[in-house]
Amino acid sequence: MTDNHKTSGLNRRTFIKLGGGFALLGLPALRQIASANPLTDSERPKNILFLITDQQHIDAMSAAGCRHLSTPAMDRIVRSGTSFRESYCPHPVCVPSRAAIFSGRMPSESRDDNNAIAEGMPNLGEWIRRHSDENPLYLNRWHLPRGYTKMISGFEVLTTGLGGIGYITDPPAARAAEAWLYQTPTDEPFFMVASFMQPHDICEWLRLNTYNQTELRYSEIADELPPLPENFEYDSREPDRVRHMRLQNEPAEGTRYGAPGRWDETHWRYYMWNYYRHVEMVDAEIGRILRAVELTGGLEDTLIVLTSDHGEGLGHHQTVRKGLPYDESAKVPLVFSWPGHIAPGQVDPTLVSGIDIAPTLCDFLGIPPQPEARGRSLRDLLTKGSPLDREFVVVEFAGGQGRALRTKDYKYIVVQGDDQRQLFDMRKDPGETRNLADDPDYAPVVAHHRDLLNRWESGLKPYNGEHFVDRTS
Amino acid sequence: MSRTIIGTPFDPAILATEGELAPFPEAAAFDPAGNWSQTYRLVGARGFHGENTAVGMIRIKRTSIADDRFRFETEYRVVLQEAMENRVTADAECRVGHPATPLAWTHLSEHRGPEQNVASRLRLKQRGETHNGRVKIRLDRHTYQPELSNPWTTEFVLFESLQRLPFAVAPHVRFDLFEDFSMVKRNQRLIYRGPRDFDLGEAGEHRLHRFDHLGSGIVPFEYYLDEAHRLLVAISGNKFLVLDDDERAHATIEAFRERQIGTYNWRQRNPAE
Repeated sequence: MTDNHKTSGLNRRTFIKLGGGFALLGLPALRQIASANPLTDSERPKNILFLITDQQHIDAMSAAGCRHLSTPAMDRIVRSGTSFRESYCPHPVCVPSRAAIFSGRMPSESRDDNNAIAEGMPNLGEWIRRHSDENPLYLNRWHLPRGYTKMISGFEVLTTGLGGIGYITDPPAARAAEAWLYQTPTDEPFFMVASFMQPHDICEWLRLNTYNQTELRYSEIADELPPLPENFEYDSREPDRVRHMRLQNEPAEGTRYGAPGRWDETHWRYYMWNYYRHVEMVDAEIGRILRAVELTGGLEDTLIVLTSDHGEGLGHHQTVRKGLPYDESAKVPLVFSWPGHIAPGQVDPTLVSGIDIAPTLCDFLGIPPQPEARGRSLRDLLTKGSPLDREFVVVEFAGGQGRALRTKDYKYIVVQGDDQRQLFDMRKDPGETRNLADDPDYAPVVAHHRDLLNRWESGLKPYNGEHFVDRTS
Repeated sequence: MSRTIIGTPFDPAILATEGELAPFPEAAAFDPAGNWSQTYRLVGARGFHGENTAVGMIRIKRTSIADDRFRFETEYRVVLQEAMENRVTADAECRVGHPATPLAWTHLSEHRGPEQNVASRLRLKQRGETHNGRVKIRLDRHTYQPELSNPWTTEFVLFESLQRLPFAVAPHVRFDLFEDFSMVKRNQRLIYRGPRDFDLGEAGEHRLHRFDHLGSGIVPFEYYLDEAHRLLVAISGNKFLVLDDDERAHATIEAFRERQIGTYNWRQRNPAE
């Protein structure tokens, strides 16, 4: 794809102002000339608001049925849009996931040794800027490679943040977003990425609450503690690397920082309670941005996308935080809302991935996807209900050494150099508690998933040239 | 040097051990219901020993207007990566109460770049008032009415209320929180936990009274007040505020900002790293 797609020197606002004139002259709109996928004004959202949280469990929203928190802002997006129930992140760790989301390529391709998007791969902002007259805006957490910086190629950065303290630095980002929306003429379209740190601060909370407390710190919340998840217990037949990731975290008997947690049931539940408070915090910040969009009259004209870079263990499988291939860590919220164009209040069962976001946004903008994008545009699925022809999605994990391949019915997990694979029947065992990989009856299923994975991997272009190969037999 | 976690929630003793407490400003006949000003250093923590960073400061000032009214001014500064900065100032007339509730206010948020230039498009001024029990907000050219249940307060006006509460186990103080004069957070409650004696090293020995603050949309706060009812320390998860000398707090934040300017300049010279 070349820069032939770029529009003339007119900015988008000017273009829209001139749109009527061009229509009267019978001329196609400038953006349509420029686009690989010409769109009419009614097919293209005037504004795009891309909201990213950090470390949000897919069910950590009241609209997702969780009774242990209140998230009116996210609920509002869910109610007005379509949510994906089987939505996976490309990698359950911040940096590789974000590299994939913003490049449209898998983490093994997109993230280089410096935690940056690999050279030669345009990030979403660069790509949009190259192919349109949009001025993509960015707020807060970037992480590719710098956690927070004014210098993100392709984006105008409105404000930065600070690592590890979303409590303090998410509010300035929301204030900046609000102010920009109120100060900007309402006829000026926007493409804004608001990337919040929360609920990631639960990681810092963990380091301050590692040691099991014999008594609940606040007795008043005893009745509010969520119950342990149904899949708190787990099948111990898991790859060593997965076990290691579990044991290095705070609740286990020895963390990477040498501090045993040995949590009891109450402490696990107290952790969950606190995690939900962190989610409520980011929900409130999102709410003030939504209010600004609404008060400035943009709600009907704005495509809102809500997702997270990865999920949160939240006690499932006795895990906390991220990094693991299980659904709690690997699944993320993914919601698209555009009133009048995307069905409200729908829950879609299609398998989707974070690598679909960039191609989808490009499609909504009427520009081509980034080169060799591995994801798929969800636009037709969202606006026309056209089924997406996809058999599986892949999640990379364990520093690139692990893969989880999810088909409609199964999840297959493998780590290089480890013969202990995992296979879960996601219909009968959605909590991933019974590993079927060693059951002879499932040998054909395992073989099929291994073949799917190897075919997928052979089609990638890892940045370091080292292809992942599943050599288990 | 290997990192080690702190492992237990912050309290004043741990903050002292972490080197976060210097001698507090003199109490000099502090009257919570009178005229006073206080400065707090705002610190973010990673949960590792020695990895706390003062990134902001808060100045609050109370001026009595009448027996049942006071003026409450707030200045809140946070320095972000590469020396971007968010400054929020608020000036509110409040009604005395448990908690006190703002009646009319202005609230201004500004963002500054490394050169301290104010970004005009990121400037947001709010005017608000309470009328017949309803709150009305004007933001730029727009107005809205948040749904707040009485009593309600904001996170820093709450500091005023805390310092006037009796040290006594009593029914919980319940309220809605209107955080940053923007976000409605319901079902808040304050609970008095009683006194505890602390040896805070360089900061001296103190009998501190603790209130806990629980509610939706917040990680619980723990407030520690001295015998004069001065709020010395507020802790919420990995952030804490420490009562500080104004000049010292200002110098701390300026030093942090200078370091961030250095980072910004270095990154400009080395964009690929």
